[in-house]
Amino acid sequence: MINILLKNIDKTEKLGKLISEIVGRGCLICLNGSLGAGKTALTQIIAKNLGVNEYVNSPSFNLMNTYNGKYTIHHYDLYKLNSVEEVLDIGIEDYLYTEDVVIIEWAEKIEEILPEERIDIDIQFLNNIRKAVVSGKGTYYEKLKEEMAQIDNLRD
Amino acid sequence: MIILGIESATENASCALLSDTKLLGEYSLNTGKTHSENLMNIIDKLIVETEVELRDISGIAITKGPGSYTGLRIGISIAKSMSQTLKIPILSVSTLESLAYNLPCSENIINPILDARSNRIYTGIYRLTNNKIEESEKDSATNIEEHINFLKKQDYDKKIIFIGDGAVKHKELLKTEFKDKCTIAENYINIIKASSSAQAGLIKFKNKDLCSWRDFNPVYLRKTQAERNKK
Repeated sequence: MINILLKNIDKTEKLGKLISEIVGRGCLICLNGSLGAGKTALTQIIAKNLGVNEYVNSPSFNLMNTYNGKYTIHHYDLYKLNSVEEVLDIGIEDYLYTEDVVIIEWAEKIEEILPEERIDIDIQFLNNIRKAVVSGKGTYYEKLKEEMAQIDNLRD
Repeated sequence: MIILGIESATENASCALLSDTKLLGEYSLNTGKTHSENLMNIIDKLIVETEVELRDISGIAITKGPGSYTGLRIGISIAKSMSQTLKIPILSVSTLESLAYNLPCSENIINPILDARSNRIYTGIYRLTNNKIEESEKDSATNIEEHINFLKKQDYDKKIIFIGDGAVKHKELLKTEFKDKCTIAENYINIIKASSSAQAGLIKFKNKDLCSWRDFNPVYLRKTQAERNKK
């Protein structure tokens, strides 16, 4: 587990860019954190760095957006869904195990059906301080951990 | 009598027109492209090229599942709307049953295995009885280890033929466990084909095993809440 203080947007930019550099086929990124924590902002940075030219916004109503960049990216926002059954009913399982990059906001809601190999990023926003807790399992997470260790000013 | 087979449960988008005397035509695109873009097009092309009149089609054979959530829904939506407008029945075929029909003349044990991701499989046991492929073990969702244990307990006197992408994925394990008592099907028949579904559907049609578009629903063989919590 890695803690990062996201003091300003520059740091978030840096984190997003780093993530975009380590992702590859089949990479799953799960974003958690309260409303306004910056989950979508981070997604936008990752997408931009993966060559997505379109405007990336939160798919709160259509649940999933697909973007084409260096990889195909499926971006989910599960905010308005209440149960795992509901999420299964939008067919998410077809996308959890593809060769594409998948980014899920509010992924904690479906923890029980998520593949074990993934990157979890919990963004906490408290007393005007933004903090990201990065954890996970699998090759992409290990790669991210390694890269993050090398960038001193990213870690606390 | 002509049966239209439609197939979209897995990556293969396929359709076929089968009469009781011959396979009139079949289209299969196993390119992994979206079924929503492909499927209706190839059905249209097939009907035009074979010069089959819509009124000559007696039933629509479609796989009910298990398989991809989105894929199944695309094929089923097309099948339901055609069934409703043409006023012909749906012939409901299990995806695993359709796979078994890829091996129609074998007296061996036919064991279709579909990869359900994260170490899970969908599987069922099929056998040829009275020239008809019949389910001898119900389709279920399990994992490969449990399934191997199950097969060993059965102690079949015949060879087992494993077929499907799950069989390919677990090829080495299956070969080690069953050695010369098993065969893994060749790649070209490891996909689910509309002609096989149509053949299964043709037999159902003759046996009056029909389904109305109103009552037809996909079968996902999903994990139950309790099973998910076990993880």
